[in-house]
Amino acid sequence: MSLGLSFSDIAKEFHIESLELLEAMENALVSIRENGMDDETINAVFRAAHTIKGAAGMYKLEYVVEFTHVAESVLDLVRNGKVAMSDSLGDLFLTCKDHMQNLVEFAVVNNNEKSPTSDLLGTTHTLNEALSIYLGETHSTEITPHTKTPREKQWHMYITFGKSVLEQGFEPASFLAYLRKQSSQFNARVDVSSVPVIERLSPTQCYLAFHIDFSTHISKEEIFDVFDFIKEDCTIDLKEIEPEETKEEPELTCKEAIPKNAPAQTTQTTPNYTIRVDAHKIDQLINQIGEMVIANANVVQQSIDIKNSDLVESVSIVSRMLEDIRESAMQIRMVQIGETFNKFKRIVQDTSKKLGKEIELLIKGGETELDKTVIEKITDPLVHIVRNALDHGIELPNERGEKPHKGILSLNAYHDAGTVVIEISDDGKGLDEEVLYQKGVEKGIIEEGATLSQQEVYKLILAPGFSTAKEVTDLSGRGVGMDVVKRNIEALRGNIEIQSTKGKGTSFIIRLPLTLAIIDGFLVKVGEIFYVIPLDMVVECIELSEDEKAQMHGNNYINLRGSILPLLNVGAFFEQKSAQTNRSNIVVVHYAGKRYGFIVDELFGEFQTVIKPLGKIFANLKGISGATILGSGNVALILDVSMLVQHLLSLKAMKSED
Amino acid sequence: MFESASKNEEGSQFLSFFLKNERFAINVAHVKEIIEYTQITCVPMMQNFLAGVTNIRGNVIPVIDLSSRLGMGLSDICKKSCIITVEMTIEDAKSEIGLVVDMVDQVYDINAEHKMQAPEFGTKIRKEFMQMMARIEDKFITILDISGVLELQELSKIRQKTACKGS
Repeated sequence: MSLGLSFSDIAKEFHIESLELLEAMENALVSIRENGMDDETINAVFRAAHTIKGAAGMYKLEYVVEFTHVAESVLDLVRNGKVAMSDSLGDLFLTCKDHMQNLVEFAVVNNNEKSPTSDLLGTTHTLNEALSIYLGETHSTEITPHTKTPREKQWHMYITFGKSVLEQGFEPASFLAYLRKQSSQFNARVDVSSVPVIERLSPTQCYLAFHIDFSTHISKEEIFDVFDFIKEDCTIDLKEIEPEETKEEPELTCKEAIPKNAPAQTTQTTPNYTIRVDAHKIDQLINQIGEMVIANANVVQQSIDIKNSDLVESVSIVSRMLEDIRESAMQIRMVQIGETFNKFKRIVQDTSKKLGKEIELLIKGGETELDKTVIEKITDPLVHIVRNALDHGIELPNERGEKPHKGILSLNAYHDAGTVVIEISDDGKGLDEEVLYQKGVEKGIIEEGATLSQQEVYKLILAPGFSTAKEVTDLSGRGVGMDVVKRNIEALRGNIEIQSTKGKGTSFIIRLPLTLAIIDGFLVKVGEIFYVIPLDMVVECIELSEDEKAQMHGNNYINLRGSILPLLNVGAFFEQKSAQTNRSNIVVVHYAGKRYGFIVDELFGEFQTVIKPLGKIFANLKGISGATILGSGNVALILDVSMLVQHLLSLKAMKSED
Repeated sequence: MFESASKNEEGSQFLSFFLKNERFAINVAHVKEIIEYTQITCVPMMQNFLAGVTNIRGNVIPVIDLSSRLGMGLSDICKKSCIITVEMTIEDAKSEIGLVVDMVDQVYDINAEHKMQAPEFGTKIRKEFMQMMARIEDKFITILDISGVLELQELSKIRQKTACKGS
């Protein structure tokens, strides 16, 4: 196994581990900045740096080791009280953490095949200089030499020659002699354990193996190249032996670190017991459970058809258990949002410092759980919203009038009726409807004189190419970010609402589905095709009678209890042949605060919908977001309500132009 | 898990089947399984040869009416109609596609001696759909170029708005 261990094999593992450690490091550093330093947190930082250095050393990422070593040395001094922790040092460590992350990312992306770019080396150099102020000069000179020249390394090799090497005309001794020439030290012992008894010994075969300890300046590849001609028949087990002097140093510091606070230095420092599982395996499990849900729906249907009450009873027990299993399986994917929220501590600290604002971050509901994929996709939008709030929302201390000088930004998460709600609120100046409206007209996003609801005006800030900041700062104001917010959230089948009071503050309220894999749907039929509409969007169903149809006069709306309900004929939209039934039904859906009606033929009611992707062939198909399998085994198509509503609105826009 | 089928180098074994009483074949390396014809759900707005989607053990896979795809008119579904599922790599992602055929015949070993160049003209189907022709026991078999037949760009086209198809 030692032979096949190339960097690419372990890169993923190394990457994940490093990122976790770096995150722990950042959290600890941020907490130091907030609450002052204590032994435990500084040790956590030190341990993280040390472990990263160790791992990088194992994979021979010299540039990571070199840089981390310097930072680690300074951390060690801080830890031992020889250097005092200060705000500026804390910031420096955070910058170092970012740089380590960049180096690690670089190594992983390039598979450790390229040497770092001059940019990275430049940063390494500047940071090293900044760090070396804290170090005695002796330290910095001590570090540099071992990485510069290709130093000699000690190796242990166990080589078993193939039985047929002699027959092929090779002389094993000559290979060893060549290797010896390349080495400064060379010590070989022969292993004769596989030499058979004399009766069975064939003089033309080679039975020998060798243990060789040697030190050489040539690389691992070059060592293997020595045996290139016979490598197919030989097994070569090559291990690098860490040179004594470099081994001792980290080992010593490590031993120092352990007894103090960290009983389990090598494993996770978090107290809760976790297993790291490949996300793919969980997806597979959920898929299989999805299949069972589908199969079970079929069984339920059949048991009802057979009319055997005992069978129906048993089947319903199985169904209930299956429901529980499904819940637990979905639970595996659930992650607390707190970790994501914690990342904002640093963003808020850094940003407020840069802007000269005083801002406090309040976090509530960090224990709220949601699907890991949802969390991953929501992080970026949250960053944009938070930055925007810090930059444009909260005022400078002297502009805050009667409000306390310190602005408050709060992040809150909670569950609400099958959805997760994330609120980002600030107590800043709020949104100015008039300014937004004017800006929207200016940028050509809306037409002069168009009537917009308050919500629509607010949502202009999410439109692409919209920015109200008079100057573009490096934080926000390019009008790019907020556009991403809307798109990402819609991609997650979520929505965003903005509430604002002038002078009091703004809240962004994001609603997301709990999970992406299974939803509650509402089953309808148009012509021969079954469609599913996400249940949480359905408000009510009404019958569309012949009379009403006649009253429509070809218009695409009806009067629903005094208000206008725009209608979309699903069958016509998909160009299906219209069904022969006289009766039609309208499913009223609400989307983005408005109601729309979809005309369908038949209604079937609620249905547990396991979402199956439709694949690339259907990528150009608008209005359908996926498929699902019915109890009968038939496939139903899931309607993409947001897409259909947009289609309706574009029709309306076209009409008004005429 | 069972990646062998798709990873296999194209061998000399070909699965032959009938479309409108004509013999066609595809390399078995692409074939995942053969199933009985089952209920297919029509997907609106797609081209006529895209029969729809179907459920194969909990997965929704697209199904193509092969005869129609080759320009020979829609298949007449009968008792012996089958769906051959093939595994393709489309844009780095593996995907399964079902092909409706009238009847599955058998697997032939087709070697160099059987192979004939596809004629320059005179064939019913488009040239990019054909890999070559073979002759076995005096029977002609058209061997299809599966990657040409299942070209993503062509399959994913949306039907023109004006052309209305009854479903």
